[in-house]
Amino acid sequence: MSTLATNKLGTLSGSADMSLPSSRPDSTKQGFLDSSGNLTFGQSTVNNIQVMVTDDDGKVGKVLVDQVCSTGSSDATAYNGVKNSSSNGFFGYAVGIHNAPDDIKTNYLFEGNLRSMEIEFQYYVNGNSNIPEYNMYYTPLDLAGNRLWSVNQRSVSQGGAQGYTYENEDSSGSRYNGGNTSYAATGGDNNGLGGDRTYTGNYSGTGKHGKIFWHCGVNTTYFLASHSTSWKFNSSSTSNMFPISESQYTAPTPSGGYTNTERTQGSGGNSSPYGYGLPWTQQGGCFFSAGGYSAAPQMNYFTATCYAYIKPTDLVST
Amino acid sequence: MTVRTEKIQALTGSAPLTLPTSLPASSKGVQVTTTGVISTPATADTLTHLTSSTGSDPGWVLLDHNETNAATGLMSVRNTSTVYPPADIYCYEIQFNIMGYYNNSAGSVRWSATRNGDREPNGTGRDGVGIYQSPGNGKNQYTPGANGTSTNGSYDNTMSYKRQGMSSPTGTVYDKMFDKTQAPLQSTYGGDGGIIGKFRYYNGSGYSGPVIDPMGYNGRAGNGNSYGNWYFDRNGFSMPVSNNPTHTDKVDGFDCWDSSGGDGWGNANYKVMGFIQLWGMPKTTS
Repeated sequence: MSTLATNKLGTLSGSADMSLPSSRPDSTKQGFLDSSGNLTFGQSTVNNIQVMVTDDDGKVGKVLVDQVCSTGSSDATAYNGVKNSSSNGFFGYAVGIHNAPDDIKTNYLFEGNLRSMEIEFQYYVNGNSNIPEYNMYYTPLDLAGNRLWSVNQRSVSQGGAQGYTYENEDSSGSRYNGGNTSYAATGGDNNGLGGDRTYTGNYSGTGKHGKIFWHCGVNTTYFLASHSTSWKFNSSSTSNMFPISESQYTAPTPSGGYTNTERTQGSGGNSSPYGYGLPWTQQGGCFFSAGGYSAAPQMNYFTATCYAYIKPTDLVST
Repeated sequence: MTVRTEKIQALTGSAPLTLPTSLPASSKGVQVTTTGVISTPATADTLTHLTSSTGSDPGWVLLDHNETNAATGLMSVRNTSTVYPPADIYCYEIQFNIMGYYNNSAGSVRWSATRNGDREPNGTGRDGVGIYQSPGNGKNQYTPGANGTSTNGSYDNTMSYKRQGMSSPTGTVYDKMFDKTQAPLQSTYGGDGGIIGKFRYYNGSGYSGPVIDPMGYNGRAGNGNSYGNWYFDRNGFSMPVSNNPTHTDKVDGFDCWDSSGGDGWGNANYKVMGFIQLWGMPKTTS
């Protein structure tokens, strides 16, 4: 038999029952077979592509993890992954691996496979009410979208380090810098947002954009840093509208004569030998919040795009 | 009319076909081999680069990605692409995390471009300058540095960092740092993660050299626990002191090593580990 007349053949049945098309496509098309055995011809649906592979060996090296955005009129919403002292979620946007599809998490973004991550963000305060109260916090989250730090870390002299730089918005551009060497990360529910934040405030017409990035280590290799640029509208003086460059880092550590012997953060109180100063698990994202929780602040036109740099990983076909 | 597929697995004639004996779990593309076997293979959509809608010109191409797990004297990336060979790359971008090993001291990472696989910093000498932000000093000037013309030890640019102080063997295996069942629980100070960031390297004939991105790289630059020993927002460059570089071959990769170490020319105790991704911006084809 050299010619198979599909309209005569009709339905094939058996261990793989197939329904063949009764007409040909009007141009050359790709063929598809579905779980019901229907063989069709047509245009493939557009697949989302989240991974970048190398030209030389095809290993996955960079993954688009998450993208979050708001509108020009939307206020931030409460997020229960990071709660305040009244057990209410802070207002803001959570960005990170917890929002990624399960197959991407399973194939590429699993614990131990992350090397460093970054979030590019921007937002603009579009109105003149419910202005975000305090700068812009980017509280670290774990892989499930909860606070990375499950309890307050121990503060010791010559312990963790925190540093920052920022500028004045006036024409003098005065620069400020500072920090401390007894930084202890804030953790647990019913607490503040911690020390990972920008250093200039928000006003009607304030905008910020920048990048948050961190080392995904679970020991003293971990650190979290940011670079950002802020600006604000000033109707009375254009000399106070210069862009402000800001940078900041935190690097928790158990050092200063303080020795960890285990990784438990959730018990044992604020004393040795528990694992204070070291991340309990890999950081998978950030919670962006302007701090306050009495009313939903405006975080308009907020966008955040999160990428992960991972151990070179075999591509998984599905 | 119903036909059992196992009865007609092999269709003979001018185009014999072998039909599948099982169905996919979801709709899949169908392929036919040259021997007539019809199947619905598992597939994965990937990118090495984005492609412009005008002229199908390529954007940044991920050319190479090397992770150095066991600390060693030298880390490398190479462009071995036949589609986007070194001569077609106008600019490279190098994304990295470099961790240093040995005695919790201050040092630097040195980088050299390679041509035809060999380290060949520009032969006419280099000069450069940069600025950075530091919690200890505010905005400051620095010299990205470049030195020499020899194959072993000369470099195009250098980046200050702090070597981590974890002891061997726990401190000399990169992937242990990301595994909570194996990660060392103590060290002298935080900031052992080395430097994270990126820089670009122009692959020109009149100018060939590094330009560090304004959000270039970050990390602790000195030992001790001073909060000010961190550098941010580094923006610098080094370039040939002559407009006529002695090298005509294009850059095909990069090597880096610790300033006190190297691949046989320094102290072997000083090692580096981490990852380097090599991205390239090819010339357009349209």
